[in-house]
Amino acid sequence: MSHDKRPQCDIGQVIRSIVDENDLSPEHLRHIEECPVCSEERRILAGRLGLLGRRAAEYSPLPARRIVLPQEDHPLLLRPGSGWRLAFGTAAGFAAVVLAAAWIMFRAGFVTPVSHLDVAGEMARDEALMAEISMLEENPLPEAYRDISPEIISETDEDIFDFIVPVSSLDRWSRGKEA
Amino acid sequence: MVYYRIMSRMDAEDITQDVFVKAFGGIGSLKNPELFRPWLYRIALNAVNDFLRKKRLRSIFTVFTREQEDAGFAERRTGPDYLERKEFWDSLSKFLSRISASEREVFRQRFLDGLSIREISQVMGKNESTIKTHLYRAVEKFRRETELSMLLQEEMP
Repeated sequence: MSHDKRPQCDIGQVIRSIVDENDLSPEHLRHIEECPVCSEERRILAGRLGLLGRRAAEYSPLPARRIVLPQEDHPLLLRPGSGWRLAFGTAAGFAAVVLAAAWIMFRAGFVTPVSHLDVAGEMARDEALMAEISMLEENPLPEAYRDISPEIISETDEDIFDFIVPVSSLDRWSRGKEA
Repeated sequence: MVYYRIMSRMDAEDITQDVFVKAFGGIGSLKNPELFRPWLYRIALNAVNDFLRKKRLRSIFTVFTREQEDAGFAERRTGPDYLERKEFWDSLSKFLSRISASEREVFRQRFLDGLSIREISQVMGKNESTIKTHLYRAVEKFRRETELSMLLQEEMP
């Protein structure tokens, strides 16, 4: 009993030969070429697929409008895809200007670093100033004039006033003013 | 290839214009000139997919019919081969709607656009074995497709 090892008719092999001939073994390829059934099947199927492509191209309308491409010498801003470049460039430029201004101000002393010691010193100066203001509110006269201030004088005897400015001369002065 | 997927001449022209403008702007990024064809197809496919996505979104808010879309081409409906064309595209659309999305795209690119297996693998970013598997299944279904086969058989010698 002998087994026939020649390839049998198989539509799968026919389809594979249409998809890619190189995938078939030489025996299968030879069978498809020599077998009248397989070769006819292949011819019809490949013919229909070829015709499908030709008909699709034939039944598609031809473009009525010409394709217009952008000019090569267009300015940079008008080129396709330049929008994000412009935005990025603007942002980078603005950041560079801000950094440069900050650096110049720092170097010129407009902006100085503030330490905790500076803050503490400033607070101490503020407290001393407030204490001085409070003291002046209570007694605005300097230390040297406090002995002759009205408060102290008012505590003295009325006779001293009479001695310094007699009553008669006071009356004369007031009368002259009225006249 | 844009028209096969959009089936509207005006939209196909708009998309083709956009595709070539994008390709013109990005041609500098193409390192290997041998990949120009798959690269251009990739741009076109992305543009078509974007268009179809937007159209699907628009259709949610507007009543959109194919008759309205093609109203501007009414004169083409009276031609002697209008029925032939209509029958062909209807049969092809029916067949393509019955196969999977991967099979449909591979079948279109191989037999309608005329791309090689290698080019299809470059466009779709899949290996050639996968492309061949999808193509094999699509051709097998095409062989069993009676309506389209009959239509093409009539025209064959």
